[in-house]
Amino acid sequence: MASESKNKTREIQIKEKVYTTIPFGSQHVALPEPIKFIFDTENEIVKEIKFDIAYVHRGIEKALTTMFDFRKAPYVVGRVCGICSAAHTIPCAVVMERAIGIDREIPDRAKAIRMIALEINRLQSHFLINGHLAEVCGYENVFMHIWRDREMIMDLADMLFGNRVQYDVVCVGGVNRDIPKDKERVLLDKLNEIEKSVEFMEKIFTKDRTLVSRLKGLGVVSKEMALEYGIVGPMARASGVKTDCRVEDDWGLYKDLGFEMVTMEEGDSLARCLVRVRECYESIRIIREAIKSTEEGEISIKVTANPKYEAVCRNEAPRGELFYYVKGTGGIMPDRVRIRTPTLANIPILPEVMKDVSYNDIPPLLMSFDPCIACTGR
Amino acid sequence: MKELPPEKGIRNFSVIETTLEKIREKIREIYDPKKVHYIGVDAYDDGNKMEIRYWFLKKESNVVLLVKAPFDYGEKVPSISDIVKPAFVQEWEIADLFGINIEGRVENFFLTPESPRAPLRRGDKLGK
Amino acid sequence: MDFLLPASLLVLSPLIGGLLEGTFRKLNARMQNRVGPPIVQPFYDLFKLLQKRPILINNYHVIMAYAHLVAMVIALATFLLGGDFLLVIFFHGMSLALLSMGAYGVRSSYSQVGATRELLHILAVEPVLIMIAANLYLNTGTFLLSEIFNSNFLFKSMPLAFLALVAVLPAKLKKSPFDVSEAHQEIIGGPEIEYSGPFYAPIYLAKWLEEVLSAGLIAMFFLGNPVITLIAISVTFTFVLAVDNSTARLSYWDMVKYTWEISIPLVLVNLVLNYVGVL
Repeated sequence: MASESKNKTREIQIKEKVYTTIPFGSQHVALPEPIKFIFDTENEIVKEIKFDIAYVHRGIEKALTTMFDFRKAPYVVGRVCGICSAAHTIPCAVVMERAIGIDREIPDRAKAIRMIALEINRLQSHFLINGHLAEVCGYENVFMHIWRDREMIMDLADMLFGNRVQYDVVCVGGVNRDIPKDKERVLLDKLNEIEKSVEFMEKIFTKDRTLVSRLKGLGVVSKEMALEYGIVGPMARASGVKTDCRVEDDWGLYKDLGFEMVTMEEGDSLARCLVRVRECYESIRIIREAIKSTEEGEISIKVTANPKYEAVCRNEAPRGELFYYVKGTGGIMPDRVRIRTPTLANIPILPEVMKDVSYNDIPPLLMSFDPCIACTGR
Repeated sequence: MKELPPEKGIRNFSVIETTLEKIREKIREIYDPKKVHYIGVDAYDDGNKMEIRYWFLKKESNVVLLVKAPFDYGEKVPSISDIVKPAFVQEWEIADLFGINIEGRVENFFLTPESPRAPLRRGDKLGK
Repeated sequence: MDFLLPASLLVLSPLIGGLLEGTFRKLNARMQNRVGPPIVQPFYDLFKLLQKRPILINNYHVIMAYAHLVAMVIALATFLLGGDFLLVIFFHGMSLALLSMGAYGVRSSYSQVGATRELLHILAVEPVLIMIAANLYLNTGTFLLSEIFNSNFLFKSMPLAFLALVAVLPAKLKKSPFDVSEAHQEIIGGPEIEYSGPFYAPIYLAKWLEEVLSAGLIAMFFLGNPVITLIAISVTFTFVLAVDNSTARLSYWDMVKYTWEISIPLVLVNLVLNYVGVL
């Protein structure tokens, strides 16, 4: 008996290194979205990572091929994600138009309004994530201020498109409502205010010592790594990869308006955050140009045919490249719709970056990647 | 994005058709992280046969490229995650959605254990 | 020294602490440009907690919560009734240690990580308090608070020691940048996470008492004129809140590093200056 217990103690001693396991999710304060990480840590340094995203699959791809006709498809995919709803509706409408073969006939005004919707969407998304990033760093004050300024953008969307979150302004063949002259004027006034709050945000994220010390050098993604893992969006641009679907795809008027890409070289969390801040300036400029360049007029064309081709569309959502593929058969419903969301492209690199990072730096690191799990689940 | 003439009902991307045995060599040939951007993995089921599809983007010419290979139900599909590093996540995803037997897949990565099996599959239903 | 004032302060300390906490929240909200809760909100919270359904994890865990409160009460009572300053520091440290012992008693990893961080809090705060005690002894010739309280405007001779105290107050009150043991966004309250309902109430109450104790420590430097004392307390607390609202959370190593690199040398310099007779 005694020898048995002695053996047992020895067994325990021989056992390999014992890590402290810290679960992160599927519900966590820092990331209110259903992704689950399990970190094995040693002195709070993360050594091993497991993750699980099987929580919110809603079968939207299937619904598009079995339940809704192609005219309703943009409104359905708007529900894929609450933060980047316009970013989903636009490529869905565009890809349907391409599958029908009418994408060359879309009026310029409709394209401009789509761009305005997308850029307003991007502004509020970038405000949201930067505010949240400050919050997970323990900087509640900045979070409160940024999110209050974000309300301004939400109200702007409400005024222009009739809704704060789900704009649903885009339809197959154009857009549903025009922006009249008086609202254009209010929009331009509000943009000045938003620009001021972007300046405030930039000042905070470049000057505040504690915040910068938290984010600088955290989770560095080198350019080679970014290319190798095919990451997209602000995360790739922060590592110096020149990729932006706004210039690579041509559903909008971005090339005509002289779009400038924002890139940085550092590739750390701070750079990812600053790329977003600087993109806000670009978005504001694009909205101004889009209003200036087009006049009130025809906003949609009549859609008479059903989708019959196979087509793809790539759109730059706030989180990066959003890929839509549609296979039409001439029927009222497409045969197959594939949605590849940006977070799905950015997840594979996460375990690599998180390794050997202190646990208290994990929430800011994760938030700087701006994961949207509702998008990923679809 | 470069416009290609619609051929065989395809609007704006080009297609490379290959077989399941050759798909790995084909992708190894095409893929170079500096010149080609990996977009994603997809599958397609027309009711008789399945197809595995890999989407790429040629950065210089800005053309979306589709590499696809047909295969029969139940056939084992090779993984390309050693060639294209980030491919594993979406491979496991479509493995769950279509019930494809992809090399190295993790069960219930994308669907919960209680959800319906292989919801996007059309022909040759999986048993419950 | 009369007995009435300290005794009544001790009895009223939950009330004072609650109001202090309420004022903190209100000020905090105003700094963040919010409206904020009413000042009596902490009392609502406490009564609500007491009404909740008790969920017991294990007896040891709950006993440690009450022990934490009792040790904090003893520390405060010793302080107000004029006991030994070293005893106050000891009981304050012990109360934190009891909290983290309770937190080690459950299997939640957030609780365990939080408990370890709580011990680091002790490591950061207590040495500075002990150094201040040594400095007080040099100036007043005693550790007995009843005699220290008879002194007049100690700040004059111990300004650096007071600065050191202000520097550790964020760590002591668990305010940003040194709220590492609570770290809402990382370990969700740390050692407190598994306490709920009526079992969380003692910890909640102990937090108020800790605030009263901190106010007392600040007051110790500004005795003599009650108006000056009150002004000093409110200015210091406002400063701590302003720091809370203008910094991000740093890591636990930063906390220990900063308190040791800044606070302890500050007190040491003060000690030397007192010894050679400059201050």
